[in-house]
Amino acid sequence: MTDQPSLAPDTEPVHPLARLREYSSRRWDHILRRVRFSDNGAELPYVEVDYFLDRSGKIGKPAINPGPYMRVLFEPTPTRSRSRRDRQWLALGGRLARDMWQRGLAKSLELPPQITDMRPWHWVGFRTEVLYTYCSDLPYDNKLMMSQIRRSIRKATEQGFTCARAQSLDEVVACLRDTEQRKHFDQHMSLNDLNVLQSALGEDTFRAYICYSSDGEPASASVDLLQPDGRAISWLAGTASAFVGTGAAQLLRYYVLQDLADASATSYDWGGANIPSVAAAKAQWGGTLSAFYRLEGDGLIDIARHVRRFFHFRRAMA
Amino acid sequence: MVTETFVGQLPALEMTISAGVHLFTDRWLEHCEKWWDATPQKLRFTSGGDTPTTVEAAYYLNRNGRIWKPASSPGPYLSVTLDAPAEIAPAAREAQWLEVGQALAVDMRDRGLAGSISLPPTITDMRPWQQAGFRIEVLYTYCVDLPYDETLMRPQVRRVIRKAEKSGFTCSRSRNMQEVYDCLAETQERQGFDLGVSAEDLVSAQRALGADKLRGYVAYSPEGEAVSATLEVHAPGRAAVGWLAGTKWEYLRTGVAQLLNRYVLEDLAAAGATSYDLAGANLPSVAYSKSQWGATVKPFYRIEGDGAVDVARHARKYWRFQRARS
Repeated sequence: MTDQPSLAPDTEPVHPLARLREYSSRRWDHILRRVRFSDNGAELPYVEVDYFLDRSGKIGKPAINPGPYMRVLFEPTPTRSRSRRDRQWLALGGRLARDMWQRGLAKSLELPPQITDMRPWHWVGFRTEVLYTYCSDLPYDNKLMMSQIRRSIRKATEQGFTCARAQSLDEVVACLRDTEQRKHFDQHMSLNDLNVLQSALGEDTFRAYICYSSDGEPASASVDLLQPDGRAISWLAGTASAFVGTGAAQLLRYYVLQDLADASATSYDWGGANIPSVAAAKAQWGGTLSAFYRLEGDGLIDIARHVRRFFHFRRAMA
Repeated sequence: MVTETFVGQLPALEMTISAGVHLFTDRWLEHCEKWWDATPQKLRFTSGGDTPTTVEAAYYLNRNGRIWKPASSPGPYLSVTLDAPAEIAPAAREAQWLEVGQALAVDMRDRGLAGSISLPPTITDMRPWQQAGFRIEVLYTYCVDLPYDETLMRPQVRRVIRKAEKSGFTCSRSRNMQEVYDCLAETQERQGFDLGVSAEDLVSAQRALGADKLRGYVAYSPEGEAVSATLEVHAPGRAAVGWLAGTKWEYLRTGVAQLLNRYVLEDLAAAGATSYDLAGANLPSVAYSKSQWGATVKPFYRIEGDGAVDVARHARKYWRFQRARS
């Protein structure tokens, strides 16, 4: 085994790393580095990761991260032996975890739901937190949908709402802004950011969708990422204030699921189920609850968070 | 609407412990009070709906009424059993789970925890506890379906089992807790940890639970000496869980531990267990040795204690982590 990670060539066709890398250092001040861990350069098994390194070389996460997770990919040898696969993961995951430990984390990082075994990180001393998301198989099975969703979709269709891939990201941003203002948060996403990310990731991966009212006004928008492995992830979504409660958001989601399935996506990740009200809305689509894990940053700020949680908890008990 | 039912204290009613094993003996209550000064209490929460979801938890309460898992109580988990209707839509099922899960999590918060508590791998959605303010840690175990499919076993394991058979080692169930304890004690000494269990504990626990539920297994050398032993928690139709295991030092390389493990899998399957939880895979050496059986890695979750001591542990871990790097 070599301990020096090798840099993978930037030749992946649907993930034009070079453009994203350039944008990452210019806009976010983070260097994007793809690192692959394997045994003496063997083709399989391998673990591959995309780091965003900050100025001090720590692993960070730009404010505008394309997608909710740090990209980690594990490819075992084609074996049917669970035991062998398990050992391959523990060995290569262990090297990844040690590498991350040596570099240090500038922030907490979320790993994708397919990385289910966190022992390599535990064994080098990281703490982890469990979070949840919903995942649906694609093509979407309509039988899983609750009747409220079905009613909303019917209502929006009857009122003449229509959906399409977005031609103009202006309209998408307008919908996102309305939701941000209504719910008092800021995704720090400018029109320029979206334009550059669209061109960096390519339109097969970066998929913006919009739902129009019968008058042609943008009513609801969504940006979803389709990864080369067939997994699609919900990333950004927003609905114009005038069209809340019209069913436009549900109609658009249904369109997104169909469009992604047509583009050969095999699963759809609903992008988190950790806020009760949001989770309840997403649960209506009947996705499977899946755990994903967050590696806790190792800074003092994380200790402070733990202490704060302790006091909140005590107060809640009292 | 959540209805909360205090099912009451033992011995009047059935109680569930670790692994969801059903126990209902007067002796178990006596055992809990005598050995741990703990009061077992079972709670059941039932959701609304025509086909409701129920969740049952079996607590051990310490003198202050806090929830506790005595180190020497059988199995690694606090018992929480979930009974959810299969016939309703996933979203409705989830809503019912959240209703009863939240009631349970808030009850646990109100009573307080005397230390960290692990829940069985069947409880996969920890959001109710997170929303009640608990910190959750993920841990792992290996589980395998029974009857055991021997093709899952690594060839190395097969070889050492054959070797042990040829050398004349034999296995059987054992009710002699002293010979079981002697094997455990050597492992305890060798590996420098404390099981927190005495031979008397085991005798009392087995008398309280019955030898069918708390099952001792021993492997004997050709001379008839007990050289390797395990204790398993079992109830027919459910998952059996490994609790304690140990092998005498001079027999470590004979393959006798693997031979005994295969015997345990066969015997538990014959007794009606549907799967076997190898109980823990969180130390590298233990994980590598357990992974040889080809079992599936499953997460289970630990609810962290809410005391100042837990915050202190976090701080200590932080300093160690930083120091090791520098």
